[in-house]
Amino acid sequence: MSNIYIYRERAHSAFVVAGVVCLFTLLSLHYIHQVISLSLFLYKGMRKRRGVAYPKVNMYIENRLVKRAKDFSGNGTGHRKRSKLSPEVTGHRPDLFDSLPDDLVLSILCKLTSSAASPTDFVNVLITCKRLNGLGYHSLVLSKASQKMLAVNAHNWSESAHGFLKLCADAGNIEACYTLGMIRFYCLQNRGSGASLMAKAAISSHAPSLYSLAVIQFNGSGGSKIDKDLRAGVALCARAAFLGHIDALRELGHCLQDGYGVKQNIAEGRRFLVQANARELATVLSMTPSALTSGGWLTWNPLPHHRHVAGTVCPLLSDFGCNVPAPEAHPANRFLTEWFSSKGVVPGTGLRLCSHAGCGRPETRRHEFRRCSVCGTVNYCSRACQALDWKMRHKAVCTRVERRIDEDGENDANGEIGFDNGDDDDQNMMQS
Amino acid sequence: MITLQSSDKDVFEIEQSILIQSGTIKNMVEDDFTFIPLPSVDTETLIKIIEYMKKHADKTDSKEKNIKEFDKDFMKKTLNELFALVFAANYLHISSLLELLYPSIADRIKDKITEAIRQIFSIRCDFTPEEERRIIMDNKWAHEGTEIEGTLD
Repeated sequence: MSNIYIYRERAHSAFVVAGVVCLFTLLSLHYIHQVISLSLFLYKGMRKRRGVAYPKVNMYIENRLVKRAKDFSGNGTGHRKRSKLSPEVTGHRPDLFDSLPDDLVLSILCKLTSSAASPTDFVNVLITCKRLNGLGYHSLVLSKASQKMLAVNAHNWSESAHGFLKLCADAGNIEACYTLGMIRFYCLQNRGSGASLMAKAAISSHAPSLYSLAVIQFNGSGGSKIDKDLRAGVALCARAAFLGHIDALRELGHCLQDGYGVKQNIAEGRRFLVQANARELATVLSMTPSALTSGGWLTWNPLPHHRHVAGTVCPLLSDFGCNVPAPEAHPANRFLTEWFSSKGVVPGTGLRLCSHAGCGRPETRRHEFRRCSVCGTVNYCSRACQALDWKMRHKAVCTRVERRIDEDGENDANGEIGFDNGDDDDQNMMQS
Repeated sequence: MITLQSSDKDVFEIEQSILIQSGTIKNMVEDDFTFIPLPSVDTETLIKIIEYMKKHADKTDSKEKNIKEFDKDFMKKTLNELFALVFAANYLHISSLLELLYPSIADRIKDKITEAIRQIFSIRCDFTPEEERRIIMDNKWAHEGTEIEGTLD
């Protein structure tokens, strides 16, 4: 996995360029205005002062206001002095967006993409007319796309979906870089490109990307057993954890407790585990106030087969008597889950999926993931997934079986097959 | 007191302390202008802008809730008025007003099918039927099984 570091430099310079461009555009709309205005029909003979140079446009506004007088009879509201109507107005009401120069339309579109709740919100605008189509694909607009707007459904995956995500990633959208990186790495089997996209996002301190790269390092995904780099994994995990990523906090906590890739420090590890729980509670409370008013949050409501539903209970907090809904999965994880489960793409012969429902990651080589050391029937990409799945689902069904002779499992550094089982986690957390 | 003149030649006298929220006016005032003609802002829009600036002029803590309420009500306007306000606020450099207007307009675009957006904003479709069909096919991935409205007649 050294190619990640090679790509870092390229990604870094791309990041710097993207950062500079964004800085300029954010600081001053003048910049966009001057760049765009060169090629457009409304701005001939424009003076430096904006606004003063659009006399034609003003006429449209006033005449439109005339037409929109409270009586919709459309007959003369004669108090306006100007009587010239532009030809468009007589035949067809002029486009509202025509009254605005491009930089303002771009600002509106930016707000649209950053608050869109699904891809349709934005795509419907692209279909309306040529101007909005052109402006919609502007890199500034795409770079502000929200996570939900990039939530491609795996069933609808196509070249154009791929192209759209690529456009957004090229425009500097971090979520798109991460989502496309995950899709390319795990679903399309393009390890190098996927990892480099995730690295690009990671350099911009995107916590999920850092965590995903950590998982890749821990498992040596995309390579062989010897490509595992535990210390790199811990370093990436730590960065994600310090940004507040809950899974990374848990993973780091377990690494510290086990001395895995880092010097063992059980107390510190437990601190991180508790912090993960606290953050999870805080996130849920701040994002879903309805959870507080609904009666269900003090009662245990196990629905393990309902994935990603808002009513699903956050499992680890149940230790403390708090049952709050688990946070929503990232669209990238949802995509992976759909791709390998409901769409039914097989990751490869003999390759398994992470048994935690919200994760969706597949193995990239045989026996990459570790199994539960008690029953051996489930396997996980990381300790964080194992801990979550234990509480959410597996604890109820895990039963000790005869240990098979190891032809199947990978060994830890200390020679044990699979992870510690969840019982140890129980004790650790109860004692805090 | 500064005098503003709209494009309809209506004049308004406002205190300087309120008007400095507008970057453009602030610059002109610093250059010692007391009479400021605004040929690209008509009277109706100017009245609304002055109303906005008056409300936002004194920002004491107790009034923050009132200001928020006012902002919410202020955005309940027709699209024409909102667009006129965007244009004027951009000219006058009132960034706080722009930051209010953009999400309000964006919210009116969201959650609507293409034809509805066209009607609401009076957008004329200048695609040929083939182009439109191609664009819809290109973006089919976004529609998640929801029926794309019948613009293909």
